Amino acid sequence: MCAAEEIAEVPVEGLDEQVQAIKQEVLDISVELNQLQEKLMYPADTQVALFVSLAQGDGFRPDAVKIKIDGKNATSYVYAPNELEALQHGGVQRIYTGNIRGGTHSLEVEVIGKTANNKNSKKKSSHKFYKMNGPKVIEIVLSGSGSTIQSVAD
Amino acid sequence: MLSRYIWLLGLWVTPLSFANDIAPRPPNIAVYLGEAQYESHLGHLLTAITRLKTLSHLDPSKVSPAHDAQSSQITVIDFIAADIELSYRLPERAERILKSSTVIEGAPLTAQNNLAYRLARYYLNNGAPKKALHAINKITGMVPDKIHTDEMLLRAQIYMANGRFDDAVAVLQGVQADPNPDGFAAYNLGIALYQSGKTAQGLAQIDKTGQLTSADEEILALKDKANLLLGYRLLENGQPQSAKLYLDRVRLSGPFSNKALLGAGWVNASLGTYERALVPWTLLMKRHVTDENVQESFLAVPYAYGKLGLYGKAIQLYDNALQNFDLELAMLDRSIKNIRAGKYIQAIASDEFKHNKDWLVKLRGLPEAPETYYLLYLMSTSEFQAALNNYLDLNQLMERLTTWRADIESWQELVDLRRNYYEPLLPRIDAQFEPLMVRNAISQQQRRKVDDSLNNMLLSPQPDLLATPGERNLKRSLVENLRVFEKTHAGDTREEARQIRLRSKRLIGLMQWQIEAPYAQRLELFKGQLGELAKYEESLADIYDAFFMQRKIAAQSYQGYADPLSQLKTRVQDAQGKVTTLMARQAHLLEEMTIAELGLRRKRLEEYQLQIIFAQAEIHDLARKKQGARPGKQ
Repeated sequence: MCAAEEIAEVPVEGLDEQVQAIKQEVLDISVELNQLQEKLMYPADTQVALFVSLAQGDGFRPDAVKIKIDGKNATSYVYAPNELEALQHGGVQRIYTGNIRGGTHSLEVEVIGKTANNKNSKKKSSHKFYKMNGPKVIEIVLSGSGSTIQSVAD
Repeated sequence: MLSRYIWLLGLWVTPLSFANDIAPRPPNIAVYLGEAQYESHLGHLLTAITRLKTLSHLDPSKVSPAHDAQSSQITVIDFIAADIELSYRLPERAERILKSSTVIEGAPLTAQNNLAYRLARYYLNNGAPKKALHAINKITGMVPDKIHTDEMLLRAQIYMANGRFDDAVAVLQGVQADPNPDGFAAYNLGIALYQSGKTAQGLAQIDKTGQLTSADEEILALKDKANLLLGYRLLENGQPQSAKLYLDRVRLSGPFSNKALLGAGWVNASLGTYERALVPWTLLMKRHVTDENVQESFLAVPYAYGKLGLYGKAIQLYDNALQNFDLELAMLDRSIKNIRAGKYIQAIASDEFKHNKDWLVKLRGLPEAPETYYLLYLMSTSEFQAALNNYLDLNQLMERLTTWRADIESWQELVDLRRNYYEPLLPRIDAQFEPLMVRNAISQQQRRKVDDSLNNMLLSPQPDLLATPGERNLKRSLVENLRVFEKTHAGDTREEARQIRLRSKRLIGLMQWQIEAPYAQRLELFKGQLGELAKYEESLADIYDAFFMQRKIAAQSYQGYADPLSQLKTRVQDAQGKVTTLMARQAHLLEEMTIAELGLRRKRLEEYQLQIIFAQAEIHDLARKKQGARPGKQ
């Protein structure tokens, strides 16, 4: 059977099922790659992950955010309208994953945006956190009055 | 915190009620679910699903505190993942959840009903009405008022798709009882009544839809559709006068306007008023030539002129139609050739089009793309949409796999670099650190002994243990001297010997007094010194731990990756092979569907050309007869 015949003889329903099967297979690979990448690039002992969300009911609309860890630039981000919408719907953005030593660290969050009454806002907040042996997960909650942090995993 | 990701479960779920029903999750779960929600909102479905799968894969107990790895209990994550996977056209998890009898405890019925609704809609849109029926039947209990109509409409559509028109009528009559009945429900009720054999009731219901008043473009289009359907039915039943009323209701611009104009012309032609028929037909003829109604008007207009006896004009318009159809046929041939050359798929898969909702319109701008006006109907069908989505999904998978392969190769290089750096270094560091490790072990052993002594002293005082070395030596030599004396002067009862013995014992007693009297102070001092020692030991332990940690990190940075990376690379390569084959098949399917559609349109144009040739011959005959009948003609 030549390739063209082989292609033509596949029933549509079978093809649909094969597409679903390969999607599942690729998703499984994706999960394993994700885990391996985390282990390789960000081992649990040194891993720190920063997430950004919006304070509920605050009406604050961030335009950009800049984050420093121990006084050094970790990341900065400018929000597109659809990303802002995703945050407003309760989405949480993984903004940074990196490595730090165990112990006490400082976190500085500078956020520019508009408050609920459409006034320009530029706030800088400083926080402290402690890194233990496990992966550190910090949620930064942005609002019109700046930011608060919540340590959600160690 | 939890309520913010509940929207993923769709419009049916009232966030607060769901949040109250399900036991609180650890906050990190809410963060990861929020992350999946964020990615899903941005259309990054593969990333969102991966995050959720990673989360449940890593630690199932995090997902549900009562999760038993051996059981098939459905978790909150399952519900959310099923919802996102349905958007990614993967219905398997939703099916599994709805089949499961061990749905998570506390999951509200609304979440299950929502999933059943989404799955039913997915199957109906994907041409699987039986599966859609099975899914919609999983909806049980009360459905929230605000979505009640949507569920009823979908249920009726599914019944109709399965040929159960009486059931559809029953459901749609229920929707019609609503104070604000839906236009689609009214139209579908008419169709269902008609299909179930209640012709008169059906037509009356469709007529009602045709008289709806609304500013909504969708309702207006539905109204046009109802009037068009009634108009054509009456026209086909030989009632042109009645048909006119309905066709005149259709707007002059809108998705059904061309067909209405064509019908309006045929109404007048049926009544023998060809001058009047020319009005809508001439208007129609000026519209886009690829529309099949417009193409038919190219035949209808000269036909009317022929009927009016204007043969010259009729022949000229038929010639124009032939020329136009020749051009269209050439264009269709060019389109088919380009499709066969793979240019159609190339255009669909290009970055410019695949993320653009108006890709179909933009595709027309490409010089070698097929004439998309001919494909409007095909492209609106669920079969074509399913095939197109599959192709685009496969294309996206291929892009991901290609990126991952490059990532894996770079990680392999990274691991090699780390190994080359650390492997020669670590044995040397270990050798240097070994004496420290030995000393540390000895020190810990000694410390344990001291601790034991202290504990014993706290239970029963042992002053000798806290004597100074001088005191201990002095006491030891006094005792030893007495022992030697007793040995050398055994049995000596002289006064001098007795005095020596007495003095020695007094000195030993004095020495013991010196040792025992300050025991309490010495014990306190000893405890204080132990505290100092503990601080030193702690700092030593910190140094030791830090070294051990760095040593572990260094080793873990390159050990144990070679096999997993190599296996993943093989799996990625295999998947690339499968995706390549499936893309070729899916592309072939899309091309064949498109070519078949263009072929149908081509065949119709050829039939029109044939009709024109016969019509022209007939006109020539009529013209000749007319000329022959003229007085004075020899």
